[in-house]
Amino acid sequence: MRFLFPISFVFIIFQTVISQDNSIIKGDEIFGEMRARQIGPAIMSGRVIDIEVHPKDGNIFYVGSAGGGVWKTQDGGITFSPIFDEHIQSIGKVKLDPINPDQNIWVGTGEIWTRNSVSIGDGLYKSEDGGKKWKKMGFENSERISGIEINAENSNEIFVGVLGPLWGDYNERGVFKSSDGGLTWKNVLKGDANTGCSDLFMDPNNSNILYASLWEFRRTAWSFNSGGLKSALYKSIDGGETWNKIHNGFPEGKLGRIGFAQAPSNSNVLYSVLETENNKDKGLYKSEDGGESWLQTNNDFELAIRPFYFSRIVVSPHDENTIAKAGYLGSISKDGGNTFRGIQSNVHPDIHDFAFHPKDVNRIYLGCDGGVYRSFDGGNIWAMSMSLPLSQYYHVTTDNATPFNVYGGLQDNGSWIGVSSADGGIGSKNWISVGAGDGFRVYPHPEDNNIVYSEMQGAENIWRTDVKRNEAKIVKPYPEADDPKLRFNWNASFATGLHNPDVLFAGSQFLHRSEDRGESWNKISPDLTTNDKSKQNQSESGGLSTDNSGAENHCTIFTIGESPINEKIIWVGTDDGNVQMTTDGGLNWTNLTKNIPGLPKNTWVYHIEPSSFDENTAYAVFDGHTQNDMKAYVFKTTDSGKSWKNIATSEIKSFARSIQEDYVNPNLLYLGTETGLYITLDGGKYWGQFTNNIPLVAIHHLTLHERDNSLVMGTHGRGIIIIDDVTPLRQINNSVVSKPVHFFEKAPKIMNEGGGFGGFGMAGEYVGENPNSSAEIAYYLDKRHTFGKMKIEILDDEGKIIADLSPGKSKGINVVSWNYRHKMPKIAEGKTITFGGFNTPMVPPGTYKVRMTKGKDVYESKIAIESDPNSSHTKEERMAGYEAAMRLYNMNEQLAYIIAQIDGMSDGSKAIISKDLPKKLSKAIVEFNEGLAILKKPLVVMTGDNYVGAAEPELREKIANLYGDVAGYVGKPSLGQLKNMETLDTQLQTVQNEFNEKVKQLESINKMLEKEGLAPIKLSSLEAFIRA
Amino acid sequence: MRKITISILSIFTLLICNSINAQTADEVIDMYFETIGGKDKIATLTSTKATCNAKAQGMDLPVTMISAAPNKTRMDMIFQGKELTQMAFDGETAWSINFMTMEPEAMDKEQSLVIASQTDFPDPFLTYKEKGYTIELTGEEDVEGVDCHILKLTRKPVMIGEKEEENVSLFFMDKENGILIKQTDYALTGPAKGSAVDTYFSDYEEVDGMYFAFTIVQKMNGTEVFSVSIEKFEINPEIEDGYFSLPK
Repeated sequence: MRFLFPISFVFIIFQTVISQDNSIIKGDEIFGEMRARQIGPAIMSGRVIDIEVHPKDGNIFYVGSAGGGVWKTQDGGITFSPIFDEHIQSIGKVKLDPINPDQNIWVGTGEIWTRNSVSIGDGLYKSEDGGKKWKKMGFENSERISGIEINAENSNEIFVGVLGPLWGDYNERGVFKSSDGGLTWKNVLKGDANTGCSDLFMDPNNSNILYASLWEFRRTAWSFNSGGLKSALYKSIDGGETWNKIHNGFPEGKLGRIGFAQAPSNSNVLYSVLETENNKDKGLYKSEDGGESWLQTNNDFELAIRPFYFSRIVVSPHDENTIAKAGYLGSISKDGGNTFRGIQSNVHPDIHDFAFHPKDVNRIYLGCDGGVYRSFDGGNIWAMSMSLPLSQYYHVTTDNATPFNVYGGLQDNGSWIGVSSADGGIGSKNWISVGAGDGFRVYPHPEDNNIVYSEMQGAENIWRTDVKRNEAKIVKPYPEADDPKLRFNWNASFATGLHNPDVLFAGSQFLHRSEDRGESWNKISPDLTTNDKSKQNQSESGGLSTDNSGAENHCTIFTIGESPINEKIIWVGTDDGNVQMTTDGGLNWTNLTKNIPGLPKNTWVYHIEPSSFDENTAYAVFDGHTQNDMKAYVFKTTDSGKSWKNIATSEIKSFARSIQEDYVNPNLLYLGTETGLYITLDGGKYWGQFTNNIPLVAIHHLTLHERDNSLVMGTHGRGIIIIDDVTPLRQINNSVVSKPVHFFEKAPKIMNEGGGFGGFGMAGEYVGENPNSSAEIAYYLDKRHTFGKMKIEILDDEGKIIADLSPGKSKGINVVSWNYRHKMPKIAEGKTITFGGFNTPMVPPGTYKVRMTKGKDVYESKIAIESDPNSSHTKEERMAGYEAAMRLYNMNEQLAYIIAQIDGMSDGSKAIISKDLPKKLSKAIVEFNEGLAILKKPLVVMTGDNYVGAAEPELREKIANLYGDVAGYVGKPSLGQLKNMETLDTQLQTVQNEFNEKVKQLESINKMLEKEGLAPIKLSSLEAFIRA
Repeated sequence: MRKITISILSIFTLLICNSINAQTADEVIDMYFETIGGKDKIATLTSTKATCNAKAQGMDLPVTMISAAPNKTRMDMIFQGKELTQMAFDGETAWSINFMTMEPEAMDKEQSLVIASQTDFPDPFLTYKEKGYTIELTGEEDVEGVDCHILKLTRKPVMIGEKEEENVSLFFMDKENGILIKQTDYALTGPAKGSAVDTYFSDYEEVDGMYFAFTIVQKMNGTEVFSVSIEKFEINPEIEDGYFSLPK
């Protein structure tokens, strides 16, 4: 029971159910304690939408991210903790209740900087306990919430700005008010089907005064519109009941997105940033009379650029004239907006929010496409927070290095290679940049990991990089003489060949193929898209502010799937909804789109996965979200696309992007969706969500590492997430789940022989989790074990127990680790600790018995461990090391036994000596005792401490230290170590002989004691001592 | 073992009716006490001593944990025969043995305050109102495949720095019988401040008519950091004077 175990200890020590129908295994709980690991990276971090600082303690602030949830720091941005992982990860607004900022936190989901790649939200949430638990407070279909304001004198009065859906009509937009703490809501300022609230502000000095901007906007897959006659800035002076436009001084005509701020130190001073019809009218406007009139003060680049992305202005609480404006670089004015200075100091561009410290006038935080930065000098010099793993992957691949590397590209953060395991954990130093701009797909050459292909947006560049030389050559396809303009998607498709390692594919509207690593290309298809000209006007996209970034490029090939079985079979999917296939290497193509039942027209083909079991089988994932369709579409064909079946079920709660077929069990499929990972064990009859250490984050792409059986996910907001070993999932079937206990087969564990250095100096930096280096035992329990004993032991060939483990007790799959080492040896008790004694020798490779005792039942299995085939040690060398370590192990225990018996004899004789004894006996005991003290003195340290007060080592310390040196290395011991072992063993034998003498003396003393009718002084046996 | 099984079964049968109607926090607590031996019986506990095997950072270590009413506790880990107190608290001062000097040292004041606020023997739910705690039934959650009620226990806040920190633990109790499956606590001070620590309870065994979890596992972010398995459990053992106090 818990009262046995006050929780504070830990901080001190360590600063399926089978469904009733015939074949479906249901229940997310079947995943049990299988757990994913997150490896970051945080070196480049990812897009931040909103920063909310605690009103009194400026070291506490909250970061609302584009796709990685909400993070809290309590130390001014050195370390962060995620506090919103069980909910959708795209955030629009975080707001603290001014009355109770430590407990009441509101989160509006759905990011509001409406670029092409944004994720979606699903409403408003509230925590009343500082972020431990969250309650949904409505607005489920709002998609994006831009503002939350709370009456400074009444926590129950809340205003919410709903920006609303980006890709479709929706009428519940505008400003909403609740007077009952969020239970009911009233739409007090209405938008319309495509006009929502983009900024909401409450006067901090008068909660009846509110400002709200409405914005008319819409995005499609091929266009964006910002602006219209409905865009406007409103003010209410009666607690949101009535609203009036405050445009005196604004230009006439259409307006676009409006950013707004009020000076906290002077309620009359207002700033707004306008997007207008004429470029000269864009930029910053200031009012000094609470919005009665406005004057344009500045229309510099940074003030006017990309309003859909940068319409935020923030006023210092300390000075009405110090304002910060989000922008490409961001800029700060100290003269009330007349002049601005750009943020420099190597801050990542695309800045979305600023926040001022409530007390320290010089401390400013900012959030951008590259995470969070902090300035301590009023905005001159900035330092990045290195602990926010918000990286937004579009795609992920791996190689066959050991450990494998992870490749992928990220939103506005280029392309990267990272390791899947590193000494001390995966830190910033473990990531290498291999591409600029926005990064997307990155592939290692299938046979030469030194060659890496990467790209930037719209295939403006496709690079082939020689990683060792850091030399990149551009190898993209160029248009041939008769070609039309090549259309590449923002996230342009390309892939390496599965059958010829030097083959590359790239998709414009045509499929291009290279056989020479991109030196030359051939078109192997006609235009495979719909080539709808009305969807190719991206140069006019943007509305009031043209925004031709390539993000709206459309009618392009988006996914290329070469059959792993037959190189002539290639599947292609386009962003405008075509599924095309060739069975002759590109000579002839068949459009299969019409064969797909129930799929809305032009639904984006996000991913096609040709089966590795059958060349006629493939999976296609369609993403309709840019048509405002949030359903999952996952289709399977087994007849080369002639017919398709939708295998998505109602368990999948959002649209999907990527599917991976298992390499061993064709019914096991992994699906990356907008809200996390789903897995089916039965070919798509039932999908269960895997949530163990995977937040509800958008998984843009996933891949299965064939050799290591690791599922690697590229998330758009939480970096790379890995499930290291999926093999238990392959083995789940009805027979397994009908048993109380089932052990899963596991491949032999390759022993990790490392024991070097690493992990230095990563304080304040995110460190990704390493894979488990221990051997794992995986088993299924039909129900949780709560009552009665349960244990798991490891036994060797002779039936000797060499380890006992902490068993998992969860219903479903449990995974238990064994570090394939012996237990620590028994070390003699001294005054101090001898650190060598904490070492444990690795057991020899082989197969060991696993014995689970659960109540009165015993279950057995086996676990195999193998030495590393790439080891630098021979079997004989390894055995020499093991034998030396075990000899020293036993020497430790032999000495511990001797010393314990000496102590026992000494204590026993001292207890008797006080009695009234015959003189001869008394003298014998005194002499015996003195002899014991002389014997013990050189055996163990009995003075000093464990640090700089340490005494000179005695025999115990010498043996234990040598033991530690030898046991800490897998190969053969050095000659010096072996000689030293002999020396110490000789000394130990001398001690043993002297001890044997003492035992003889004890026998004669015991006889004398018996004569006196006294109890003899007893010794325990070596075996009993070791067992105790 | 057979006896235990039978008594568990009978408790289950008894509690099925209760579980159907269990709706208030107090009803959940009543069910919990009934399952573990009865409120009155638990109230007779003055101290317990657990002799355990602990697993931490890849090591197996013997551990002794002794707790006594109303709020005394001490945990010793045994390294190479030396009992090194990892944490002890006598109601006022928390202390531990410095590993370097092997001498006792008082913990900082905030740690003592936190430990004082959270150390509560024999059970926090016993007379919780008199102790100034509040409890609230906040929802349901599946824990390791067990449908659980979530009980939120709010203790008196603790002053950390210049701020009163909320002092909350969550208890996840099997809906069928009220038995405690998991407890979540939040670090109030130190580098882990704000982090959740999940403690899982299993291997319940009967001792003198009461049920105690004989295995306790602590996890942070789903990873086991510490576990103890009780080998010997003593009820109301004799404890020498001053056992919990910082040695002078």
